[in-house]
Amino acid sequence: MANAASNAGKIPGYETTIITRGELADESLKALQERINSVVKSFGGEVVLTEDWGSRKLAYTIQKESRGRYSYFVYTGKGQVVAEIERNLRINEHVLRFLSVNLEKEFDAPAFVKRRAELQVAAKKRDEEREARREERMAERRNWSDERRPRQSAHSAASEDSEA
Amino acid sequence: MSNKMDRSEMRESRDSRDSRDAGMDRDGDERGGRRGGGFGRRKVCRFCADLEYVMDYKDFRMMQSYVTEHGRIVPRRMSGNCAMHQRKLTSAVKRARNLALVGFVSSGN
Repeated sequence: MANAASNAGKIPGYETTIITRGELADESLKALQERINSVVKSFGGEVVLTEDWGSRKLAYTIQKESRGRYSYFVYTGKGQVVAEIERNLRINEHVLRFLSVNLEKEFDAPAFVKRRAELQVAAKKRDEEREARREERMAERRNWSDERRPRQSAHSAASEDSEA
Repeated sequence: MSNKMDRSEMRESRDSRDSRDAGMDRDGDERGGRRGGGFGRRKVCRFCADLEYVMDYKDFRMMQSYVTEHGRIVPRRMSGNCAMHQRKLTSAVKRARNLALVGFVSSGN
C-alpha cells in the first residue's frame, strides 16, 4: 500500500509474450489482440505496444507443435489486469504458452517505446556485424584453401619425382 | 675429456631447461602467459562494456550465445560476465527457456 502511494500517478507496466499455434490465421490473432485491448481498457490502462514476431521454430515441442507464432504486448494497468489477461489466455485454445513480466515500477510509456526501438536497432546492427564477420571469415577460408591446394599438389609432385 | 663432455652436456641440458622456462614466460606475447598455468586474456563483462548491449530474454540470438550446445548456461569463467550481469543473465535465460527460444536440454536439431 505504501509502495502504491509513493508511486502515485504512475501506473505500473507489464509485458506479456504469447506463443500461439504456428498456423494460426491472422483473424484469430486479431481477435486475441482485441480481447487483450478490451481487458486492459476495462482495468483503466492502455496497450502501449503490440508486436507480432511472426512464426518461429520452437526450441522444443509444446503440445505437439514445433512452430509457434509469437506476439508481444506491453500495457499498463493496475493490479488485477495481468491475472485477468492470463485467465483469458488460458481459456483460448490457440495459445500454447505465455509469459508475463512486471516492468520496472516507474513505468514511462513513451520512454519505453523509444528505448525498445533503440535497442532493436542496436540488435539489428549487431546481427549485421555478425553476418559481415562471418562473410569475412568464409572469404578468408576460401582464400586459405586456394593457397593451400597448389602447394599440396606441388609437394606430392616433388615426392613422386624423388621416387621415380 | 669425459669430464669436459659431462660439463658440456650439463650446460646443454641447463640451457635447454632455461630456454624452455624463458619460453614459458615469454610465450604468447599477444595472449600473455600467466604463472598460474592458464593462458588467455582477461575477459571483460560485455554488458558492462557495451551499454547498447542490454540483457533481454526476448532476444533469442543473445540468449543462444550464452547457452552451450547442450542447453547449459555458459559459466562466468567462460563468458567473463560480472557477477551482477551473470545473475541477470541466468534469469533471462530461464525466461527464454519458458518461451521456447532456447532449449532446456539441447538447442534443437
